[in-house]
Amino acid sequence: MEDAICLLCPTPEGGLSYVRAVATEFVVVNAGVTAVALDGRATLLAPGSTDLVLLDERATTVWALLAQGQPSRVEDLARFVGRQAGLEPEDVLAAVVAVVQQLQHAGVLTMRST
Amino acid sequence: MTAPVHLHALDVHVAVRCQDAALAEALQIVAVDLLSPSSGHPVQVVVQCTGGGPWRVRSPHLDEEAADRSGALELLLTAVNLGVVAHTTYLAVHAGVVTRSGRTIVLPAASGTGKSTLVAALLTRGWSYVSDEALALEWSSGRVRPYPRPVALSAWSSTALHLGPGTAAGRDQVFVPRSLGAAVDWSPGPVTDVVLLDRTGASTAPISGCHRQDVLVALLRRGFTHLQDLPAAMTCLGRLVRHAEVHRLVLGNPRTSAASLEAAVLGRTRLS
Repeated sequence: MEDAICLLCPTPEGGLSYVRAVATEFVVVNAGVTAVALDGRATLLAPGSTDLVLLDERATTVWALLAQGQPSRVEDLARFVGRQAGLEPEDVLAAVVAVVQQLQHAGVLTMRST
Repeated sequence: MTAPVHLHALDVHVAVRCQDAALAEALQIVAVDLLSPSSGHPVQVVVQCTGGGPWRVRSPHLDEEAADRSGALELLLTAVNLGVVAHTTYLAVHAGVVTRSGRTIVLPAASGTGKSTLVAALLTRGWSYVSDEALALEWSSGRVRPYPRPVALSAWSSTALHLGPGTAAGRDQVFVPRSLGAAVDWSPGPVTDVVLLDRTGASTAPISGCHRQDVLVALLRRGFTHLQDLPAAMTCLGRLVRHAEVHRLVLGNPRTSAASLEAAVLGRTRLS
């Protein structure tokens, strides 16, 4: 219950080629995820898991967009996040992919190509 | 065997059967706030103590021997506590709980952190007792339920708080709240303050704010029964934390720490 996912994480596993490959993937939040948001930080629990996923403020902005149901494509997600932060989408894409990748590993969401 | 001592806590009924009448009497004195008003309820946990030196205590959760009566009393109290925590249907978290003037303070912490000592220090300052062991909540409403087991303190804690002798229970001294000048709050109000105890001394301020996410994680990590329904526990505790004030208290001298906490929570300084 100690792992924290941070949007400021460096390049995700797989490097920049992976980031480009994932950018066009669709993201779906898994059914049954429990989420508690407190003071701008979300705490998540994947269905069937006993490991908490702790998000910092920036990762929580990604989660909040996903929880609202859109956008569902990673590059669109980066566009939304970049707009909120006043940055270009390509400047935040790697960080968004890192968050999405870790949420996928935690069982919170699923990525698919269509 | 003497007549069983019937105890009731968090809707769990425990029957304690002792061969040693003096031990049964000591248990009734220290566990006075858990004595069941009636024995008509079905018993969920049976604790047996056989022998009169050594004493053997057996329950579904414990099977140990004590060389002296005070050690046997400690084992009985431990067996009762394990039975209550294992069988309660409430959402229970390892924490001390006290109330005063409409405030309900929760102190989540592991054993040995100083939680019971701080609870006792607050009781001597006029706070009411809910528990030194568990924050117990109704899952859906989040209503707080009391679990007023006797307060167990080390010899160091008793000395630091300038307390007279309690009842010896193994290496600890146990105190009923009344002997600390406190009453049990049988209808505690909603949780208003959650305090994380810090023994690292990393902060120079005795009491400071902290992030609610840290508090939620601390409560879940100290859960006794949260795995009965972890998503519901997370939701219930999340609601509690959202509406509470949250603090981090650097533990020093327990009397000073209690005064600092009281001043922060009640909004006034009353150092003594």
